[in-house]
Amino acid sequence: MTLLEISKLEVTFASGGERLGALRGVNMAVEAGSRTAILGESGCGKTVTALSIARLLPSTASVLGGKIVFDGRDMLALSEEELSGIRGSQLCMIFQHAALALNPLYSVGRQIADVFQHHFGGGQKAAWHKAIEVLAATGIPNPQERARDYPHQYSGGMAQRALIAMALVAKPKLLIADEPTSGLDVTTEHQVLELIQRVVGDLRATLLLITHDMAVVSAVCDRVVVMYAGMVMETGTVAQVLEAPANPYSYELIKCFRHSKREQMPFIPGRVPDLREPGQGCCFAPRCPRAEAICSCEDPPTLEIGTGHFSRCHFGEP
Amino acid sequence: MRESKNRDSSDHLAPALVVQDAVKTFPLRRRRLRRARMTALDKVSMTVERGETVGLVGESGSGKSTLAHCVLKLINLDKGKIVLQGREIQSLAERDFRSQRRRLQLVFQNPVASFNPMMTIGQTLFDAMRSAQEWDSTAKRKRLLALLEQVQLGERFSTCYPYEMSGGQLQRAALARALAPGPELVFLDEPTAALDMSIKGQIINLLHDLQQQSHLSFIFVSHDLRVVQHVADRVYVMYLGQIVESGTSGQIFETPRHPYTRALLAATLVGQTSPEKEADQALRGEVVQQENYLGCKLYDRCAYAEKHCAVEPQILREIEPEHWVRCRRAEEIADRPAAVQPEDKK
Repeated sequence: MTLLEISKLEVTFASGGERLGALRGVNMAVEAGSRTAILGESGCGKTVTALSIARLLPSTASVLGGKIVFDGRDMLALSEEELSGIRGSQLCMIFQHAALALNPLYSVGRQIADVFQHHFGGGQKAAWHKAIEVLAATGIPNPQERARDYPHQYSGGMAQRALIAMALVAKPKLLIADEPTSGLDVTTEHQVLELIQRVVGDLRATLLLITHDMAVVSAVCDRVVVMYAGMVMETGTVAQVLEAPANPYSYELIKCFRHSKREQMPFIPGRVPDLREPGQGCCFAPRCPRAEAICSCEDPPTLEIGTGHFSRCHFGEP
Repeated sequence: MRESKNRDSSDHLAPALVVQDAVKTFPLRRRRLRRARMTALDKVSMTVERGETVGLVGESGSGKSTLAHCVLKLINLDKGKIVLQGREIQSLAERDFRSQRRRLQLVFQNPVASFNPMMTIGQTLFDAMRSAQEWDSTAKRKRLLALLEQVQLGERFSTCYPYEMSGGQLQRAALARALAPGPELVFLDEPTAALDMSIKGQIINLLHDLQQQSHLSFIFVSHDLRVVQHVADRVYVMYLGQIVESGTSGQIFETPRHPYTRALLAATLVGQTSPEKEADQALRGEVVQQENYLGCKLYDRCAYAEKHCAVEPQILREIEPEHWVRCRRAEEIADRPAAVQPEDKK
């Protein structure tokens, strides 16, 4: 069953009098129970995709077209009121800078208790106990005491745990994690990723994980969507995409990641196109080592090259 | 490429940098324990040879930045020595040190934040050359172009403002700025952390080329062990202000002996289909700085800890040539087959 389906989503931002095409026809489907990664470099539209799903885009953004269907409902057609019933209960998000996502003026326990009361009602006491319970479940030591602490008293890893605890309260169907471990130390990153996997497993939830780190993708996810310049370049299972990438961009990106030491470190020459004035043809053509004449004048089609394995390229074969 | 190469032969043999038993403490502001101090550097010693790249790794709070600041004499050590090419600089007064400062340069993590947005790249580079007063303006102009070429930026970038450039280009400009006064040692503080995977390689390769050309020494601070493995000749691993393991890149990455190093590596290799992934487990908990340590600082988090570890201070000892480890169980740990894991994983 498809839990989330995005089709032909187009989002632009106002940028100094110009329109910047952040998403240019994004299509993706997330199956219920899957762990899907959106992989890409900065500025490729990963976070904008996530924010569009939760309808949290800033006011400078406008959705020009497309559809987002989450759990049978058209997210773009819902009213603010209907949305607040879905956000936080059926669809939860955890953010990159956990400490910034918490309110500095309230204790962590209070913020979690508020989420519980908002969705399930009940007394303050019951909600407070629930908050302590979920903090304990995410591995915060001394949850009784730490619940009374304020966000600034939490370390980065603990703040991320608190956000995950907040997501746990409502038992969502879809958990969107936007770079949940960037900025954390490697050992803490490991712990947070394990926690996310455990929580998603326990809740039988679906995970949409946004990351730029290939290692995180292969450790946590089963499917992956590779994005570049506001477009989906390749989708498939983690094994298909990471082991046998069909799209030249994924291929080059993975090569950057898997280098052996003491040789020249691989990189992709050139830079990400300016989304204010995208050129014609394939968005990766100027940097692509396999580009031919057709690439710079015609938009490539998305071809299915294996079961559930799609690549946006004129040349289907890797 | 440096104009003046008239060093006397005696300090030709001296390493680029020697840090000896560096101690730095900071006061803790707590209501009751007003005199408590936090030890940021706990007798740290390190050597950087000329033309060598030394990697410095550890979690945040391990003292990497404090060490960088002390070496650059932005703050002074409590105890210990810093010897720059045979000359002790720790005891120098700021006024006497100023003429030496150009020999040590720093490249910051975030290239966007480390440039003045109101100055063009050319102006920034000229500014960095101020310490070398002997150059007249034509010489400086020539040098500016040479620097830009060295970091593979075209001449046109000299009139660019930082906002007009990408992260990778700016980081190259930051390197040019560090090279401008003709340093001997460059401290690179996470130079690739803010860059995308697809352009990290450019900077790393550039660093390599620069070192080949001008025999610079680099201290490369990074979280990213994959990058450190790629660039470093030798590696120091820090934990809570102490060096816990040091050795050649091969020793550290292929036969790590300290539980902390092993855990860092295991955590980094997440997801890569390699046998090492299973070999070790992540550490428990997070870095917690206590005021007094009796035994090993890693005791609470270490999967290999025994009773003795809690009470016995660990010393750094050389277990094979050049390979130093601060753990009493180092030999056992290395011999432990990869499949056997201690039971208390959580």
